[in-house]
Amino acid sequence: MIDTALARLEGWLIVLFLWLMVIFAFMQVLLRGLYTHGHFQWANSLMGLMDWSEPMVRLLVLWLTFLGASLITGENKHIKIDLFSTFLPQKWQIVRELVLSLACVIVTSIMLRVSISYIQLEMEFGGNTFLGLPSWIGQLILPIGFALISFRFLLRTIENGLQIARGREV
Amino acid sequence: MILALIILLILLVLLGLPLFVGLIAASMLGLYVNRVEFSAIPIEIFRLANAPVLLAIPLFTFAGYLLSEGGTATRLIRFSKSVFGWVPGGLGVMALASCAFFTAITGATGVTIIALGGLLLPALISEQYDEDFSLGLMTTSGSLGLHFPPSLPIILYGFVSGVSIERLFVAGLLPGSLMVGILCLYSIYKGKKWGLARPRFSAIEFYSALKGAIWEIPIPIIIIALIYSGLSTATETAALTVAYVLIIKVFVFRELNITQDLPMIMKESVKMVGGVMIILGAALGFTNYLVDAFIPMKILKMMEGIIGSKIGFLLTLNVFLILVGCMMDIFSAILVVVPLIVPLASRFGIDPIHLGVIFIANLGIGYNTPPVGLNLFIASSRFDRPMVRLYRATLPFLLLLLLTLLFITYWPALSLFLPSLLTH
Repeated sequence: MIDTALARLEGWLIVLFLWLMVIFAFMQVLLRGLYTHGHFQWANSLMGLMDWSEPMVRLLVLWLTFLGASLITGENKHIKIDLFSTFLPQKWQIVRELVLSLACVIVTSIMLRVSISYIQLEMEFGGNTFLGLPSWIGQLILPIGFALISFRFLLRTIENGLQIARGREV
Repeated sequence: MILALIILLILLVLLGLPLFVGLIAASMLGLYVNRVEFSAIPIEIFRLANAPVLLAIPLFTFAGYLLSEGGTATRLIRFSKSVFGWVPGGLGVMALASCAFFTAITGATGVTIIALGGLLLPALISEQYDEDFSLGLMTTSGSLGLHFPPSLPIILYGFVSGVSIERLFVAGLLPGSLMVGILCLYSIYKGKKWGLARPRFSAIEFYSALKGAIWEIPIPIIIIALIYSGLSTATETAALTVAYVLIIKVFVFRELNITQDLPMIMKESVKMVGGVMIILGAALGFTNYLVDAFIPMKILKMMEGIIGSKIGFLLTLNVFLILVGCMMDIFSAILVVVPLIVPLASRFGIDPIHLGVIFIANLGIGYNTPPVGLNLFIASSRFDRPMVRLYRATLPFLLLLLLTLLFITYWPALSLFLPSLLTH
């Protein structure tokens, strides 16, 4: 339930961020082209007014990366070396899934903790990025992203564990 | 203790641990041994937000996904059929050309086999092409055209190795054409041998197919012209391409609806981007550790003792990369292997641009290599044929590509001639 609601929210954010990225990246190229090849002075001043959009678009790359990675975690479609999924007998598949998702929970939760302390440090000593925003706002996606990803891996672990437990009873 | 953890991690990765988790865990182990704070990892991941080059990846991916929806594939196929139809084996040539274009814009992600395979395979078989030939052709074409702009693997290679992306694209032009060309010749040879029907070239059909695809044919030409002329960087070209594709798909053809289709396509392309770029972030952390711990230097020392000559190094590299290519997808392979290989290669006097061309060619071929090449899996599920059948069907194509690989690897001028003409 929470998972579907989260996925919907992530979907909305993805659409919003990708639109922003496309529009501002295009406007930057357009203005730069107008100025360098058409020598329009107004294009240059407009570019000056929009100087915040370049770091914003670059930051959106990172935010979209984590949102996309979180969504494919839910769908279990992360890139992996796929040697055994076809060769292993059915009975062992589920055990394998459990072990793997458990390992993922451990690693991504450590990353969650590490990125929280990274943000705390940045809140104290970090500078500003575009539009006078403090830089830790942009970096917030690291803890948010790892929280989402480890939450999804945790759900998967529980699901796999339950499946094995039920299998034993039968 | 640490050794046990390293072995456990390798086992888990081979069992199918998501690669980004494996890479993060590996950097954690390394940092732990060197007694460095783990906060080095988020700092490296955050570098994803500081590289203008990387913006090209989500933009080109989105453009590719937009193009794979709606009627673009059908229109392009009709057009290339009207151009190549009269050549013996022309339908095969046309299939190879269309697939190379699609793979260049979507990367070797299986999109080509999935989006074009369903149209091209029945077309080939209905024109009396041998079924094994058609299957082999469609499977191989899933990783053909990776050298052409705006190929994402090239952009990633440039980013990781620090080589100019624009120069890499120029360098890949001849080797990429050689790979596509040799398969086209094979198709022509087969077409002649089987005495297939050759429709006459029809000016009327050509004209009407051209009119149908008039908005889409310029896309690869514009991308290539912009990048090769140095008029705009890869990233700027990506921004222009997306805007152009959006406009023609939404307003000219009215195939895609802004409120319904676009959000879905956006989500799909961001998922693909997320899957690749999260590995990139994790790989940046891992590479940082490797460099700090002088690992490439250590490997270099070790290899120098075993491999003496440039030829020996290249040969080992070819075999190694094909093995990597058949186990990993091309993006992760570049991210994991390039930082290790680049210092080695420069020690043996190999130009980093030539190395990039070899890399992409090798990994693309690895996609078709039994038993676990990725193209074989995708084609097996898309065309509903057993894997063993596809092993046999792709074999002649695989051998031809290996032949071109030899040319590409041992004839550096093929890759380096065009970039040497560039002045900027």
